Amino acid sequence: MPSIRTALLAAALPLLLHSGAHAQGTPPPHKRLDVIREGMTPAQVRAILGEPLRTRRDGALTYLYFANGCDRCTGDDFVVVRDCRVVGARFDNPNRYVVRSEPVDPTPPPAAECALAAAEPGRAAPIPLVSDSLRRAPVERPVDANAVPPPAGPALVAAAEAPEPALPQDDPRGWRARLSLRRPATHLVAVPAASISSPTAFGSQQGEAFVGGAYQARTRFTDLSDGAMVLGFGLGDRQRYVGLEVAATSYSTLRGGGPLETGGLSFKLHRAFGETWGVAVGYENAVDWGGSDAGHSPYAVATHVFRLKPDAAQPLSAVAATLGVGGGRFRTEDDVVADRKTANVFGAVGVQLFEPLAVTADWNGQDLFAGVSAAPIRRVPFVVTAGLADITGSAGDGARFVVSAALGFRYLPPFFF
Amino acid sequence: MRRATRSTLAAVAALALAVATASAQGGNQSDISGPVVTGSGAVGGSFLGAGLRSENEMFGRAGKEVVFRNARIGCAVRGAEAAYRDSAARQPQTPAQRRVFDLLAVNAGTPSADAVAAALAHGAAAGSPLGMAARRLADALNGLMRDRGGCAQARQEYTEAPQWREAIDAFQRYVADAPASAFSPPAPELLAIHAALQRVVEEALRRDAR
Repeated sequence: MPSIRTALLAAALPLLLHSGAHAQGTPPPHKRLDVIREGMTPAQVRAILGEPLRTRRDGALTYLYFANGCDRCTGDDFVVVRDCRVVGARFDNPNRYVVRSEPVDPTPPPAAECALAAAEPGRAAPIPLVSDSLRRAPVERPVDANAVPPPAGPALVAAAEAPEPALPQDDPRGWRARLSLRRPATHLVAVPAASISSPTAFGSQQGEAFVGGAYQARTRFTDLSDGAMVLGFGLGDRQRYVGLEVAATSYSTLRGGGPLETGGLSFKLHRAFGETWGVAVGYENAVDWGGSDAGHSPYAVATHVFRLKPDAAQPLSAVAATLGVGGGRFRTEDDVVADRKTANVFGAVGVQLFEPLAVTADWNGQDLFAGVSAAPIRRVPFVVTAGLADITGSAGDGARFVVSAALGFRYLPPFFF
Repeated sequence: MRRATRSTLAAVAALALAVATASAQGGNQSDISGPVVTGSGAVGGSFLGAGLRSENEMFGRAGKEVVFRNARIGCAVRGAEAAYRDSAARQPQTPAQRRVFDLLAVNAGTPSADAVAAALAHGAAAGSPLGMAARRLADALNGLMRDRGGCAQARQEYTEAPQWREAIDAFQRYVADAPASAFSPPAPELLAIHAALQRVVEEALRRDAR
């Protein structure tokens, strides 16, 4: 026995000395435990195992090969990655382990985490093929605490064809909610005006309203500026039946008695035929108050839109032509001065240069207007139109700068009409 | 222009002329000698054929044809389809996903609208409401996401727009109208269809918004 004890001590002493020496320095690589968990990203794997010797793709799977680091091992160790997450591995090196973990976070990791090697740029995380509604559902998954050693070879990792997941139980209403599809939304769209002074044959219908203001740098035969405001709304259905537009105008603004001291109510019955034709009859200032000099102006008008390009986003996509006949302010200056009860022709042509910008020429029976109309914010129907009135001097005493701004909006949500 | 339209025009013109002579006005007309303030003309919209107009963020119409709203969104849809095809090729697929992806032409496999329609029908007869909704959806998906090459210049060249519109409508109609038995649980094919449509539409709109 003493000889046996002596022999054991002799054998143990070098081992103790050897281990003590290593405790003060860096342990050799084969003594380190490298634990790779399912769900790790390639970047996390590389932080533990270093850079892979090579990578190989096989369908949806990517194999990262590493030097096994042991003399008696055969073949390289490898880690299998799918969707930027470790799904398995095979290690000959006894100091390397793969551990199955809890259900993997379904959130795609950042692209930088998916780089398979230091030299490779980050790859975009793939688009999940499963509905969010299903991915949020609790998924039962067994947890293997490394009790069973992984079988050798690539067969241990997920197959290229995934099993059909068990769908969570839910009532039909819950499923209908989960499977709701985001429909492309509809928005109001802003389009410039096709006239300046003449009414067109298109108007507001049920659910649509507008508010605006207009300004003249000077009125006819004066050096006085003038402003007006309008608030209106629509009723009816212009495509199926007929639309009725009602507008309240305040011809007084800041001077005198202020807003609404003088004003009028105007009406327009309008009918649209498809998207290119419209006809309307209207009565401007059918009701007035406060002694405005606007007068009453009945009219009938038709507008046709010539589609030059099928895509409104393209330049020169449409021309809108308006032709009407009316009394009141649409009469010639001579007839107005002589108080002759006549009718006169008016019309306007607007050219849509770009989707948000148009130029317009407008003959309102007395004055020739020319100007530019813009809808600067695509999904906000705010339109600014500026130009010159009476550029031919046919009524009044020369050209005058005029500008208007108006905002359209809905007073009912879309599903009401 | 149709005969009825011409008749309507003539009638309203005659009416206006009849009332026009009753009008009277004095003064220098300072109140109405500027921009029109008696209606919605200042709000614009006439180039679209009406006052206020709504616009779908994905689809529009060119005449009677359904088209993408513009070429940009069409290009975004094709880009999103390509990204989805690429993702599908890199991931394992369940048998139901494979059937749907074959039908959508996300995979290169042989499409079978019959197989997908049968799964969506949940055993209902082909002539039943559910069977017909399933068939409509399956037909709308046939080849929907096939590789059509790069982007085109004009929105009319994106001939897949009507099929996309039909696919979305058919899916919504199926989910809304299918009986409760179709959701206990739903066919896995339905979830695969939902994911594919949802992902591509969202990605396309995201690309368009950039």
